[in-house]
Amino acid sequence: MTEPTPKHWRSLAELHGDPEVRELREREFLTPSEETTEIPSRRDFLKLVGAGAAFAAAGCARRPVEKILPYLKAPEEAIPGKAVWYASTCGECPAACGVLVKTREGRPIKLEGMKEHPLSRGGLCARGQASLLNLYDPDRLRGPVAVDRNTGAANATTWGGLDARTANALREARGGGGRVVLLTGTVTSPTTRALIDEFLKIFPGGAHVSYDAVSSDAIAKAQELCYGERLIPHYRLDRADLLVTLGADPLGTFLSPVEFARDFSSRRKPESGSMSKVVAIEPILTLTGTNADVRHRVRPEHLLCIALALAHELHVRIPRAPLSGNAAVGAALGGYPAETVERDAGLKPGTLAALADELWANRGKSLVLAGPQAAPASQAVALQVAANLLNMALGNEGATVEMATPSLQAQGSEEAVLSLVEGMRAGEVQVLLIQGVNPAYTLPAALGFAELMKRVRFIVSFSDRVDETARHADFVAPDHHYLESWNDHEPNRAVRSLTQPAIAPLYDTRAFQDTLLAWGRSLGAGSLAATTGSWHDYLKERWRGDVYPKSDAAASFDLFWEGALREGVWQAKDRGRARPASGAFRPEALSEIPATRAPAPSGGPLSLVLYVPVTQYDGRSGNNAWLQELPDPVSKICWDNYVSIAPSRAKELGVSEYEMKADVVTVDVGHAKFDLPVHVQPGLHPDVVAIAVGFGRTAAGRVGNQVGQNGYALAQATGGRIGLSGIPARVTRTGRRAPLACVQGHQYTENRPIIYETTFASFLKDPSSGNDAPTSEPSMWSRHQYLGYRWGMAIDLNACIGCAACMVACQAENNVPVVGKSIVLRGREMAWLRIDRYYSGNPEDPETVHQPMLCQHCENAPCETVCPVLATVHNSEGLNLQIYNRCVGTRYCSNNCPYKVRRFNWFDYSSVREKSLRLVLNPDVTVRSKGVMEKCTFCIQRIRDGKERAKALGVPVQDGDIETACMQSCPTQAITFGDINNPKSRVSELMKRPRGYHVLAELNTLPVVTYELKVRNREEVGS
Amino acid sequence: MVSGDLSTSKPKQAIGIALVLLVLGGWSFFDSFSNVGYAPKQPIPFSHKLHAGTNKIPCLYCHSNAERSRHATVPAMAVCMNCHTVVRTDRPAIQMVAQYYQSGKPLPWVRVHREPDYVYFSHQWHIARGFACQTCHGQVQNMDVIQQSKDLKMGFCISCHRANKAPTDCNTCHI
Repeated sequence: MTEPTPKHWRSLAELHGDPEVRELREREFLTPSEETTEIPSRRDFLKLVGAGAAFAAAGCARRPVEKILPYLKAPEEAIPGKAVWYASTCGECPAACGVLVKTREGRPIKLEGMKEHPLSRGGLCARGQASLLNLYDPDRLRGPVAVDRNTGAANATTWGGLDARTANALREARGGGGRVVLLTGTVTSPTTRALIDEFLKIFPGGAHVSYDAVSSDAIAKAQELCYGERLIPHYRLDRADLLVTLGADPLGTFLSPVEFARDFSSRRKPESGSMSKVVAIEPILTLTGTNADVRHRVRPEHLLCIALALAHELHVRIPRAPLSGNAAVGAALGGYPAETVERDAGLKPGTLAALADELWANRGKSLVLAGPQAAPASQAVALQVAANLLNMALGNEGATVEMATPSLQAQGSEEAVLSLVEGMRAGEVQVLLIQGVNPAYTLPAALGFAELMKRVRFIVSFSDRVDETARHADFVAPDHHYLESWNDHEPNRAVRSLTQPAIAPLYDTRAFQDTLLAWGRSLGAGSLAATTGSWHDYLKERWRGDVYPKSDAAASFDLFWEGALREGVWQAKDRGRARPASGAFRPEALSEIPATRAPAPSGGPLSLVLYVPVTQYDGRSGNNAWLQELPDPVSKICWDNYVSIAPSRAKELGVSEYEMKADVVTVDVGHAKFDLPVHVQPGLHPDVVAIAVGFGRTAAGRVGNQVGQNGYALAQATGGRIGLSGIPARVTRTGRRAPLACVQGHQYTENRPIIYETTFASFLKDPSSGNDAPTSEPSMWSRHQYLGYRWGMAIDLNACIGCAACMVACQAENNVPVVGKSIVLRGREMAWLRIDRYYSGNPEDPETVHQPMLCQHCENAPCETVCPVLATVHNSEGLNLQIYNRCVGTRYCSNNCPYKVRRFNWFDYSSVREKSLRLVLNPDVTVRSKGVMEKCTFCIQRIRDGKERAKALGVPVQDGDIETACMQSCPTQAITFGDINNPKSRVSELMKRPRGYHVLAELNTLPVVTYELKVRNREEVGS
Repeated sequence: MVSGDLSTSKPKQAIGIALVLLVLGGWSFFDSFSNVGYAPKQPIPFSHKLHAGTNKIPCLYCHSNAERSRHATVPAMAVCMNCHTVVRTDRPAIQMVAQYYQSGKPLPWVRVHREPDYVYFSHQWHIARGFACQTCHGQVQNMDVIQQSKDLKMGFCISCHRANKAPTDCNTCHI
């Protein structure tokens, strides 16, 4: 029996109707029953029952004795049972989003975005939410250690010992004029940078090298060539009516994802009457690509040609741009006419001309964003120069590309770190101090950084563990986690935020800045020698000198400081300096561009793209179980990395992936190779294979070690650039198969329409276009009455970008356990909220929709009617409750749930052996034991908290008082929660909108979650 | 032997005794789960009768968190020392408290009232409604040694909720 092809499909197996799909559909749970097939004999059974009863009776008749230990002096602000909130700044990546840290009984248990922060505006990405778990990581160092360089073995030492040895080494270096280098990541803290400068000035050969594994250096270099100043502009996606990305992923990992996501989604509201258009030109399917209206797949080598062809359209073919008559421009662009580039890149003829016309029509309101590591290393800067030329031609300078308040979120320089490597090779570096980076892991293996470390006399790492770099160091002086630290941040010159400790340091770690102060003082030279006081004092003094005078606060500095700590973020009145007059675009920069086009590669090796995954970033939090279990938003695979291959290429190579097992292939780039399982990824260019970096760690800890392979090993370092893209690679089958834990592979939509979508043009004609969802059936029974509050939710599929911040927020808030790869392989992942990713259209080049799916709290809940013990019932406010202590584990509720949102504790996932990990649990939420069903509760503990707060004030709950964890963290505000009995609440308004529909409404479950269908700004849908 | 003659039949006697024992055993087994009367030995002989009864110190003076939070909490030792730096410093029990306080060790009280982990109870809401502490904790001001006087099981809570028109949705107590 052939079934109709589903319009939206979750995996290629579902699309093709493979036999194993049909077989899996029959099974409620992925694996056959775990019970043994032997039935015990009646005599044995009775013996067991009798013995069990006897033991139970003989056992606990006495309750255990429990002690209460009171405070000696209770802290004033902390009431046991009530949360205390601190304003701080996230330190997981240099974007420096504002956070509010929720602490209970003196320990942080949840991070929430800070609404007042001008960039993140209340959102917090998945990695930011997960960074809380890093504080309690049991594999953190407990104190300073001395490392044996030969074996990597670490032995505990004292701070005094470490300081003494380091002081000796530094004194030697100072005396002999040897180089002292401090290698860090991007330091967004101006005060820390000032301290670093003061420290390094002590040494005649002192230098600070800033290096980012996720590098935006090509942008800064191109800015220097084009405008004379090295900076990263502040990109304003909220001002762009047309966004063209060239391999960039602003919604995923580029520069400031939370801010970009918010800005991006602010222009995707069809009800406002206008919608932006997003064109993604990229080799792989990035998160931004899944949210684009139009996508073009190209090889990484062609990104530059395409940018130049667009410029050619604007300057040469139909001269309209300001620099059209310019000889240098004409010469540079002459070799890149659109037709030839389209032919080389495999685009339809006329595509680039049409796109150039669209860009021109949106001049001043468009943005061309090129990924700094998207093109091959030799073309990276040229690509940025081309993008700058386009933005300048389109008048985007000062509008969507703001150079007056540049971003300080990526200060790393590839040239600087590569020259450091050369210096190390020559034996010139005497002392190397490493903070916030892991170069032995993230630098291309061809550079041999670990080997070169042997040529440095003395090395200290400030890492929180003996990582891949620190094992070749002499000492590790572990820094605090950012939740234990003082710091400040300046993501751009108009915004300063503070980090304050939310918990006293758990272990004998010391702030990196305090360590520098101690060393600076012990050397007795330079400006630090005479200082006293801690890093906290230093920070305060800097703010007294730098920030306080600019603040025109009437109060004293101490009051100002308290206020700054309470608010967490401070904004400068003057938003940055004016653009220097000499800042006009310099056509000489175009000399970067090769005059002749490189011949189109044909046949031969495939083009490898190493991309930065949303879940792991550069691998810095590889030991974070929440991130390892978080499925990649596009492939939905967790606990592994893999080689993504386009479907046509996979067929040609004879590799496939189904039923969570994939063929293993060898990827060989010449200077390195390794084996990885294959993932057939729709949306890839057929010549491109993609591997995520950030995996394959060997010294992360018990969670992260040996998960996947290290993509950085395959990277290139050529011509002063680190290349992650366009690397020629050979992919060969090994004949082996390996399991890949994909969470999207085992549930099927049964051809029921779950997703509805339309185009913006159709929406403008008829706001309910595309909404073919059935309404509920007429019923014999009257509806349930909900007097008082009734909680409901609206999810805008147009706003959801699939970033999965909500998933980690839910995990942190509700004590959702991590189960590990083998359990996920059985389809038993525990996430209460999942993001379903649906493809539609051409399997080689599909369109994508992300749909968060959670318990729908159905009014006619199918789960409630079948529970034999009434562990799941409805309450008077419309919530479907799950009473854990009543549940006996029949799992009939999960069987009956059409949305498949219920999760069962097959094993005891929650007994945590490590003490520190127990501290992260939310005390307001029951920790579920074995045999108990759980599911989304609409954060009932937050509802209760909200009602309590309102009751204490004597007012009813106001709309927006209660936010579920997922809603709170969403950078794009896709989720809205509230009282649907209140006609004025935001969620009621959203429900009434014509775009709203219920999933599986034909089943008459009457869910309270309304989804708003997807609107794409393109001509027709799903062509 | 006449059939049905229970008094003389040995196996039937044995069955009868076994049945009685089973019933008694079962009843005592299930009854042993009640904590009424649990009055464990505390590290010092603190008497609520003296403090709350004779001296009429209000409950909330020491257990001040009861009106601010779900937990009533045992008071911080500084609260004891508020008076006992000068009051009755001759008593060995007071001296022991002072010793613990000086040496930075908390006094290890033995917990008497305990709900299971899956039960959410908020003192704050109930105090706000005006219920006296004695409603659930009994006549504490008459207790020399604190003991649990009500069984505090679900039936106890539900009956009071029903009588006072408080919510009886499951999620009221089982979050």
